[in-house]
Amino acid sequence: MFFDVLLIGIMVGAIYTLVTIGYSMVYSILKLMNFAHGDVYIFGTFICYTLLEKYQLNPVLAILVSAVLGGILASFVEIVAYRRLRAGQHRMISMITALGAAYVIQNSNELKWGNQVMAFPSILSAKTFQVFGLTIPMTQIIILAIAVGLIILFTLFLKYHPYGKAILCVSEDIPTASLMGIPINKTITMVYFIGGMLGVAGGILYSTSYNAVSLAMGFRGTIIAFTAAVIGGIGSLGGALVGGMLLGICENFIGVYVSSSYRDPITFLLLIVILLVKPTGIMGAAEQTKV
Amino acid sequence: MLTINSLESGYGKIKALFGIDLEIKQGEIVALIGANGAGKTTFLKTVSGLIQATGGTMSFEGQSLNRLAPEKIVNLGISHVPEGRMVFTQRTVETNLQIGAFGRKDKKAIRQDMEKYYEMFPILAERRNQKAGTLSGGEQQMLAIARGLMKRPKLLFLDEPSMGLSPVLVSQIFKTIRELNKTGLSILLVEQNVKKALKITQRAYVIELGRIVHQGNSCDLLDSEQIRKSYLGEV
Ligand SMILES: Nc1ncnc2c1ncn2[C@@H]1O[C@H](COP(=O)(O)OP(=O)(O)O)[C@@H](O)[C@H]1O
Ligand SMILES: [Mg+2]
Repeated sequence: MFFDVLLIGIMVGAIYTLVTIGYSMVYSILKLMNFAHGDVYIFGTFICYTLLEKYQLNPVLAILVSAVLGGILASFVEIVAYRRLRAGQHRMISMITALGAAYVIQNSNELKWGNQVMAFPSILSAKTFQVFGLTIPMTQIIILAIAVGLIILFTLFLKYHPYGKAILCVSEDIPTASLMGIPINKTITMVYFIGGMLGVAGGILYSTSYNAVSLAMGFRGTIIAFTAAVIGGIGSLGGALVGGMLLGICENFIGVYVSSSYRDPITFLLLIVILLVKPTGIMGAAEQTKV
Repeated sequence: MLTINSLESGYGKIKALFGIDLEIKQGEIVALIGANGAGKTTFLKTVSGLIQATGGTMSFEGQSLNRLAPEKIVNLGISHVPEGRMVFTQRTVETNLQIGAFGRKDKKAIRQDMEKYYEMFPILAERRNQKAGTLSGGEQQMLAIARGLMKRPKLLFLDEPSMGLSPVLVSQIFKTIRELNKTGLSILLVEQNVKKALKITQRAYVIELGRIVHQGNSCDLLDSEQIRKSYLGEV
């Protein structure tokens, strides 16, 4: 029992990490709360749902197509709603356009897919296998493997790809990064694109593991990403991982051992306690003020 | 090579440059000197595209720089080593150098350049896997210069490279600058260390409150009574 809860907690945590990465990267570069993040990821998840349910598309293809579409939507939002506001103006203004973009996407999603919980087609085998006398569900293991694989892939990208390094430099210092010849707009659009794609991947994995998809998961996704990013330390990949894992694991233990109706209150109480003890988040360094 | 005419710019409504004329010829090393707040940094930032010019023209090797984005300008061959070094403190020394070569495709030559600058600044080689934020001020300055050179620029802007360094390090940095110029690199050196700057440059411009007030051969300016009084603290 304990092991099952832990395994599912880790799986949910890995999914939350995927959803958090995009949100956290955007924050670290632009200091912008991207309220539209969760609505973008649920848009991609809905697309995947339609491709699977209506068009019986091959699951791998369906996931790829919807992740790319989610990435395109995320960068579209950046170009249309945020880019022009980036230079100079008060940060509050782009916060408002972010909220506006979130509502537009949310309502469009609702018009197309409604606000009911729908059964998400099962794309993974429901088999189980035995290790050391424990029954391990295949689905959870595959989902965990995919999520961890994507996190590792993204980490390698940041570390070794020229554009990955460029993203890190842009998040540290935009003017100096531009003096290095890094195209700032293109790099930021790329951050949104990748963040959107990883978010959609997280959304699809989540919906697969719970066999459900609904509009409300979008808003919850934004909250989860925000919370996990802040708990872990906003702006860093390590922070997203620690925050996502902590949130996923805690949620599951509280849901199972206390009560699922206490899941959110207790989880967020934890958030408050952590922030009171360490305001920069678990992995967060003190914010450096740039001169 | 670089021709600036009647350049004006500033910060929003605050104007900081009031019509600057300046020229740098291929292979020259030129100083831009002036007191704190005179507009030296603003000038460099305007030419490298970080600040929009509000008037005048700028051209580099016949190509207009007006309205070009910074990343385009650096790719034309102007590398700007900013004031305060501005290394990426969270990245390693090596990554800082690699990012300096951003956009270059010749992997082998990048590696060679890197080794060349590790040889020029051995302390950087020793610390190549350390985060740049852990370096001392002088080491960060060397890194910033090496990073600027990784682009293989034709013209190098140096904004107060001696700022905050010990006298020994200052001499070392100035020696390096001189040697870089001897390899054919054109350099615009912004300095408050006026005497030293005039000693290693061929020509110099003196800027005051956003206007060029003197210009000439550096050795003549070193001898000029007015310059000695205002900038070298001699009476
Ligand atoms: N970010 C800024 N916003 C507004 N004014 C600025 C800014 N940076 C510099 N200035 C002003 O522009 C003028 C020139 O500054 P600067 O170019 O930094 O001088 P220098 O590099 O010669 O010390 C000064 O009056 C300074 O106060
Ligand atoms: Mg200055």
